[in-house]
Amino acid sequence: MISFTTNSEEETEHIAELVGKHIKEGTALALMGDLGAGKTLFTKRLAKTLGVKSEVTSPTFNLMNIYDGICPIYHFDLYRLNNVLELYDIDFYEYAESDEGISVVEWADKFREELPVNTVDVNFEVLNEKSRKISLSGTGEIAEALIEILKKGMD
Amino acid sequence: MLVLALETSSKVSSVAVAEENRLLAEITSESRLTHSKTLVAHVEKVLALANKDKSELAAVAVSLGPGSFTGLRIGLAAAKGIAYALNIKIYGVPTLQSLAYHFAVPNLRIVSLMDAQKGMVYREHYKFNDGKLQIVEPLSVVSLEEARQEILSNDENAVLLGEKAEKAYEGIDSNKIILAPFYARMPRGALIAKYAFIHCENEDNIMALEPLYVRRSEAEKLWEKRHG
Repeated sequence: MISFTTNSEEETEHIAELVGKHIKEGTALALMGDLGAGKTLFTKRLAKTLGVKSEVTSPTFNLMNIYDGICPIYHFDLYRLNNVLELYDIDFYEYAESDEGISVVEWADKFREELPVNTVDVNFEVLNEKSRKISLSGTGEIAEALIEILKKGMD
Repeated sequence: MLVLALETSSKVSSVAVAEENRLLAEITSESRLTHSKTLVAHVEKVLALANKDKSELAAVAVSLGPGSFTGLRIGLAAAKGIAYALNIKIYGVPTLQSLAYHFAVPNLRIVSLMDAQKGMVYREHYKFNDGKLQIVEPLSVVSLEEARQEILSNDENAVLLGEKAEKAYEGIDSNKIILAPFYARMPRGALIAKYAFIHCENEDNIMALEPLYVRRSEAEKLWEKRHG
């Protein structure tokens, strides 16, 4: 587990950039935190770092966006989903477990156990109007390796 | 009878045009391009390669899965559109069974293994008796390790097929079990056509034909048990 305290949008974007530089295909990011905590800001910057040129918006109503970057990026927003069957209906497992792409899952805490083995949990905590605590922890070999790299980058 | 066969149940995209005992043309690819971008273009190309016009088609055969939901929907939507527009027959083919035709030989246990996500596989076992496909272990969703144990617990010659065959074969050290070579392991349009010729005496209803959503159905049962 590694935590950062950011004091501006720019600093949150910097974390996203750091993750984007080191994340590998086959990893899912589980973004958790309240509305306005920075999940979308983080995703936008991450996608940009991964070479996405098109517009990035939370797929609250269309449930999933696919962006072309250095690899396919699958952007989910599970806010409107209520049961596992709906995950099957949108083919969630196949995209999230693809070893050729990177998945970013907003409101992942609703279905945390349905996420793939290699998942990095990214928790956004609102400290005050400007400050956020961003904590990252990984499960699975690839995701854990990413956390280790981020830790080294901190030294 | 000229058949157009569509196979999009996995990463493999395959389109074939075949007659009863002859493959006229086939395009098979396993790449990152999505089925939705390639399928219809491949249908046109395969017909051109076969030197046939779409008006000569008598039927469309389509892979029903189980497999990738998105892939199955793309394949079935295309198959239905083509069959409806040309007013020809449609045949749905169970994907794992079609794989068995890679090895239509006697005295061999044939194991089809396709990805069911979350560490699970769709698996079914077959044998050919008197040239006829027989299911010896019916289709179900099991973990990769269970699938491996099932294979090892049989004392017969066996061949592993499908996109999860390579994974399942890892750690198996037996002179009775072989991993099918890559060119005879994965789903193919030609297999879908072959299956349709052999098994489909009755055409399917174009309006009622659905993919085989095995994994979702099991999830539904579990969900109802928990939340009944």
